[in-house]
Amino acid sequence: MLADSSVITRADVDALIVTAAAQVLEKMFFTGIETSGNEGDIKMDSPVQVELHFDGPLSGALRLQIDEQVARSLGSSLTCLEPDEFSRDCCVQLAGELANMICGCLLSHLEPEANLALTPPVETPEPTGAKTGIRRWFCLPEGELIIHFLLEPICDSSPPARVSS
Amino acid sequence: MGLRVLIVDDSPLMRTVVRRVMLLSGVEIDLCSEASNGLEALEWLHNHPVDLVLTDINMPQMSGADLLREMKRTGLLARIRTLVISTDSTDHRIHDMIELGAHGYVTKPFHPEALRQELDRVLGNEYAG
Repeated sequence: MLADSSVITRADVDALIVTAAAQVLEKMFFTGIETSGNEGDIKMDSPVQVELHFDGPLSGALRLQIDEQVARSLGSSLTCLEPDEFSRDCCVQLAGELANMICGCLLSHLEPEANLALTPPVETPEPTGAKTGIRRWFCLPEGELIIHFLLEPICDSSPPARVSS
Repeated sequence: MGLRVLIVDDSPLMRTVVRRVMLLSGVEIDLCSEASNGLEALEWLHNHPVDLVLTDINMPQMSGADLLREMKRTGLLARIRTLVISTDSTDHRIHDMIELGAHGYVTKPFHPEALRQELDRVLGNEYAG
């Protein structure tokens, strides 16, 4: 939780993305983050991308990109289905649930008591390389995951400015 | 006699996950059925005996909140235990769902053990594994 919830900096949000992702991956998927970062390119052979939006005292969107193979690995351990039983449609569902839980967890840290509405996650085309928002990649034992989080408005780390009173 | 359970969630994946956790929980289960929204759940509940409903909140056609309202209005809530499973962890949401009649609430993401503990609390000793 932020020390001063009226001032949200880019660095704060970036740190909370890592916290939220780690919590979700550990609790539901029994896995962890080996490394993560903001820079660099991650190539995925068969990416699945989902996006959801949220609205309320905070507004924005979260996009999650995961390779089909990684989704299959996470999903089969979650459901006890064999990997070859885990279809692409199941991979999309898993990506959606992961995005939903990470976004919910992240927002609960940003605004613990806010009444926020989240849209159902939907599959979207591959990202166009948008420069806005915070992009963070995660390296798990199963493979890579990318989260792109857009919060309106968001401040640069120096100097911090009030986002909401 | 074991539990007759209904899992309500618009995500087939989450229904599979909850079903798996239920089956691994040690609680004796006779039947585990599924519905993808509140409306489907109500149709099932009006035609089949159910002891426990585990429901998400945000679903198309009929939400978990509206499902609880209808279950209360039709008297189903008096004999069926309900447990909400949702990503919404805000106090006001949890309070709202309990006020609507939910007997328990689990926030996603959850450790399987957390769901088991809430099940124990909601069910008491009657169906303990």
